[in-house]
Amino acid sequence: MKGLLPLVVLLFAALILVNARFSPETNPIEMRGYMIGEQAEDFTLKNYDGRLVSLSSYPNAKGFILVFTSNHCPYAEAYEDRLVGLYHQYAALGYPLIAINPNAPEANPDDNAQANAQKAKSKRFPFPYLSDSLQQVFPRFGATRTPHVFVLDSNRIVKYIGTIDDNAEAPHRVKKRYVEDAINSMLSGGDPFPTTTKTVGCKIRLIPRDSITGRIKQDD
Amino acid sequence: MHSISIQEVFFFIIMHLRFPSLITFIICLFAVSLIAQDQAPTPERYKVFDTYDDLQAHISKYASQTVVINFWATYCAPCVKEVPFFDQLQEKYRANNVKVIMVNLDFKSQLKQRLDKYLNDHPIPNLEIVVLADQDADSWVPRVTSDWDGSLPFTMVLNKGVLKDTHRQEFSDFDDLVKFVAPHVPPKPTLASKRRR
Repeated sequence: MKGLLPLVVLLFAALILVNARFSPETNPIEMRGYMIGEQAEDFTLKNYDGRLVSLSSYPNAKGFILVFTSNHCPYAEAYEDRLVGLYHQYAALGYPLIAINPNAPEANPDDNAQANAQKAKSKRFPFPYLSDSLQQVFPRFGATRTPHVFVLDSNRIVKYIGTIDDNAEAPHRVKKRYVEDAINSMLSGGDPFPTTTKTVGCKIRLIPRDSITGRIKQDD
Repeated sequence: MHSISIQEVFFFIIMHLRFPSLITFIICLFAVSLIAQDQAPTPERYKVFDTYDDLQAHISKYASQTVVINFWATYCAPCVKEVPFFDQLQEKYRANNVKVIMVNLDFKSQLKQRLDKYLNDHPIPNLEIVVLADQDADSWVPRVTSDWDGSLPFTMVLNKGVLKDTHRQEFSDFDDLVKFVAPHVPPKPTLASKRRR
């Protein structure tokens, strides 16, 4: 029996290693995000000006337009002016827009706090532009791309997930305005339709990690 | 290009003194050819399809063979990383009658700054590149396959028009890509099979 002990220890060690390798933590993008009708948890993230912002910072909101966006994705850039438009259209009606940059600055310095501030100032964002650089918030929503929109109601129930409209490249050729339609139907007491849309965008850049040790890698 | 020696310069000056118009003419020709080389980065390097229907019609031309389709864009860092693997793949399986089609999703209005520049800097001679300029992603993405959400890169392999497999992230290296495609690659036509035909 004594001879078996090292073998058992070895087996356990191997098991732990294998588990570490395949733990879901190493790939947050595979985490299931909120479904339509689920309640989103509140979060607190830092704005580009250093201020901390939560959903509860807006006690009178009828809902929220959360937009995961980034600084140098052509799709995100194509929508910047339209985000400002959405804010002006709906903030006063009780639906403030909150932009969040989910990209890891370690993966691309274009997404660090300084770059966020620069973007917000140069485009005169009237809304907060938060940094999710630790990547704790976007996986809960199941955001995968920038831009990726989540419309919530006053109870933080997810009502719409997807794209802003049906033409990223040419605003003047837009036919379907999904986010506007969603909020308009919510304003009139109904539910959005469609509730989800698909979109092409830039994949959210993850914090580069060594898959076994979880150490942050410098290259990539 | 070889470097110009002093003798050649002398020869040039003397010639210029004796036949000025001829030399000017030659210099002009040379300049024009340089400009022409610079301005024509392969005119028909890629087709642009404005609708997903047009792209589908194009892909269906290869319905009798194995087709590997990769959706990518120059702004997508992981996509750009794996593009050379596909170039290598096309080369490896050319004799197996495998067709690799790279569907680029850059904005049509930015093709010059983005795709042309990319192709200038990264020659991928083996690959067919097509641009899909259909902006209504919500209508065409689900038609590609139901298990794709539109994030790039995305790769799929078809055999005789039937979807065989999909890959929803980047390939870590060339072998990773080969492993994905190999099960659907027909054997090379042998001498015997050619004779039978």
